[in-house]
Amino acid sequence: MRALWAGLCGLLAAAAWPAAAVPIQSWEEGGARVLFLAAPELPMVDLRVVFAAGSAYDGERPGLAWLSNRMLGVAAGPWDADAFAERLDALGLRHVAGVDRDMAYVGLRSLSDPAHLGPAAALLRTVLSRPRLDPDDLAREKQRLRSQIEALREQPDAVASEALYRQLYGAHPYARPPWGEAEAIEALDAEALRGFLARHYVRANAVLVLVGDLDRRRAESLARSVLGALPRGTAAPPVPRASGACRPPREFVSMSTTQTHIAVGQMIGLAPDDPDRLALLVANHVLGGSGFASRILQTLREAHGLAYSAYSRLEPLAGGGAFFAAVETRNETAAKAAALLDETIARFVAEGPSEDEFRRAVANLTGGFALSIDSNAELAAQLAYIGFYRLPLDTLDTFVARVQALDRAQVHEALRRRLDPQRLCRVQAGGFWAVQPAP
Amino acid sequence: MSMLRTILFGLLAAAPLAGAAEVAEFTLKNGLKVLVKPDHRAPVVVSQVWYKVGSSDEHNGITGLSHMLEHMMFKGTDELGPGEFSRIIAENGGRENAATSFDYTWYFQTIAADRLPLVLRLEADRMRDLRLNEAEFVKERAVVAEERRMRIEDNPDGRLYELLHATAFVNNPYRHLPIGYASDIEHYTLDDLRDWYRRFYAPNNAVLVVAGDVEPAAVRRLAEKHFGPIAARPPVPRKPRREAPQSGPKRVVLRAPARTARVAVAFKAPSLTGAEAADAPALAVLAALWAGSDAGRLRRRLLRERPVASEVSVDYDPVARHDTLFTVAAEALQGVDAAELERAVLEAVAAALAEPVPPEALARIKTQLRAEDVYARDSVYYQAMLLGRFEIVGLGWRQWSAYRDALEAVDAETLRAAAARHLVEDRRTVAVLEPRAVDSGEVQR
Repeated sequence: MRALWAGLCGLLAAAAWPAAAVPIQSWEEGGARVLFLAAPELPMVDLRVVFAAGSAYDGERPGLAWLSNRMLGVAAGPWDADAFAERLDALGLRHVAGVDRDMAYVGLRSLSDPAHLGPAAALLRTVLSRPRLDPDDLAREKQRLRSQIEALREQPDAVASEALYRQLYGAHPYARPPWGEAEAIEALDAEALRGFLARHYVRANAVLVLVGDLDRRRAESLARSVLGALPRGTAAPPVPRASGACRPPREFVSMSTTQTHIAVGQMIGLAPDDPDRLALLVANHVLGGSGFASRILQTLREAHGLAYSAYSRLEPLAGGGAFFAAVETRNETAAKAAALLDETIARFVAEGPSEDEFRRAVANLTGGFALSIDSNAELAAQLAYIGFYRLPLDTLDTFVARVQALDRAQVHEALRRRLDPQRLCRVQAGGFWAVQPAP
Repeated sequence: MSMLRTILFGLLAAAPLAGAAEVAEFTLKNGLKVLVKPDHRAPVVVSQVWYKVGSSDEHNGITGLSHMLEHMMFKGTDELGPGEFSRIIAENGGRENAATSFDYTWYFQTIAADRLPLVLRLEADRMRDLRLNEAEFVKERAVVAEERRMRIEDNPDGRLYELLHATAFVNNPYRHLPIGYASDIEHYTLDDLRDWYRRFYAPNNAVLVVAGDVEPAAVRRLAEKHFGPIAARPPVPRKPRREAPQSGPKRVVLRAPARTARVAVAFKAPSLTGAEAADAPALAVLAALWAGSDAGRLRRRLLRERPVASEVSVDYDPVARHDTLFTVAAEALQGVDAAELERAVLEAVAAALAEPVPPEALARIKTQLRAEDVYARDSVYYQAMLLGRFEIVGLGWRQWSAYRDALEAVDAETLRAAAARHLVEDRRTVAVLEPRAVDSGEVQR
């Protein structure tokens, strides 16, 4: 693969797109929000329930959110682990689940005919309302998770990224990776998981997304069926605002690798509904978010041949998200690549995008809108994001116009106001120490 | 996907099209085969140009050259400067990339449907007039060296996978991976690339697949306009390079910095293009029965009944020009060493081979197959890719539905017979990663 598509996160966008191209319907079902989009072209349905149950809610027990979510994919109600896996296959279901810092989700992809969809909805209802948490399953999944975390320690990018989050977020829960920490996972027990699920996997804390071959009436009945057995509960409190500690400002981790991963970042308090969101999206697109079109890849890879992978990205989060940039290069050139990355960022913040860069970024983001909504899988992910962060239901429909309404000065002003190259946190992880002493 | 063929194997490789009738096929006078699959759900089009050249066309000394050429295809033509191809696609709202595999190299764009003429013009341009420039080449060779470091040198799974292939095969060209060896990368010359480009980049060695919001007649007009004028080249003679028979088990150990042990158990296995193609569907179903889902026999055994692994997978992709491998891979749980993992995986494989497959398990896998038929249609890119793969390895895209029918027809007896022929000790290679301390974790501030 010639390129790593690292940038394009979150919302994307379009050219000649009709108004209300994505007619999302929304209603409330017993305290939960439902977002529904009819997609009758294929005989299938994506069901996804999103909860405010990300790792920010781990409290003093890192890994709690991750493991709780994981266990829902192992067994449920009358089905032990073997029977549950067989049940998914027998119904032709695809199970999906995930946890990030803010949210957690559980879902299924099913065929839409009643013979499949009915049992699928019943299964999802059971998954949500009757977790099993059998002792053997829990012990095993804990050990698997610990092993997987351990294996991440082999990879310079994972090691650097983890260290950088710690620097950026200090005592804030975002400092820890969503999967927690190996030692803390050992201490998690069924009671803790049960408590977390009972508190967070409730209707008042849920958004249900339905995309597929359904009409409104069927969607409503499906929502009742999936959510019906969940307690109403209460919404989780908002994630506390992060302060942007950046302590210590620099860190070096030595590893036995031929490359060194250089990561920099700054907590910029970026929220999913941030007024600067689109301006920063355009800025990041030019800087490092659009692969070969971006300055970071142009400089580090195309002009200097120092790296295969180099990018920047934005991560909007409810409690305040960050800007990240990274490059991976051989140990001998780590210092040079680190300096070039810094210089590229600093120069870009100082001068902003050129007219030409600005025009091209807007053209790519608007012209590419259709690409971000061209499959049910993409649409389900978009609806989950919009629903969870309570973005306007016409977010997708207005995206192009909102990007087109930006001007270059506005983008540069937002960039300069939010990102300060003097305040970047820095990490290097890899074998750099073998060829040059850490500064 | 320069090398790790992780995205397509087993059942995924089999998911068929909505219906063969929906694909339009034609061939230009210069030999360029064109396949069109309309899908009007969104005003988007996927364009893929497939070249029948990959690492299995290389020999020792130039390993990875196909992949290097893939990188150079973005470095300018007589008309365009370096990087301009990507810039134009981006400016038009498109996404694009390319990848090299064992048997093929493909270039792809996803873009608003009304930009298809632009995309085809650019692809035709670099099929005909690539400009290979020394300064760009030297820089890009360094980039490829970095890519190899990332994928292989610093990645225990990559190193084990490379060693597995190098050990399992004697003269089958899958012996080396698409990324190539470090020493070969270092010594490519511009002449190597010129020669490779002239030999393989020709309309009669390529397939164009267009899928999405398009009509076949319009694609035909565009293809004729842009690719039509490109001259055919002499066909590339291909040797069978058939693997010398293996007649005893092989085992190889890699001691490398890593945190957990890994084991790969691979058996020589047929492709759909080889003499034993009839066994491929049964082996693909067996891969799914073993690790296609959490209900899979090996996943149940090694993750749950006797937990030694944190991950277990089976990789088998019969859509290939040469015979291939059926590979069981496992990563150890913490506290489980390489020897214990190896023993457990071999025992689990032996037990799975000894037990008859329960009819319910086979029925469940076929239900999943039928559901996947529908789910696969959600991705236009994926649909185009399936067509391209079947076509470029020489099977022809129509073989897709025949293969799908064959999967459906697999029964307990065909499973048993195929396993008895291929998944035997004499055709086996075991590769073991014994972790050595990672000199890491020392933090300085």
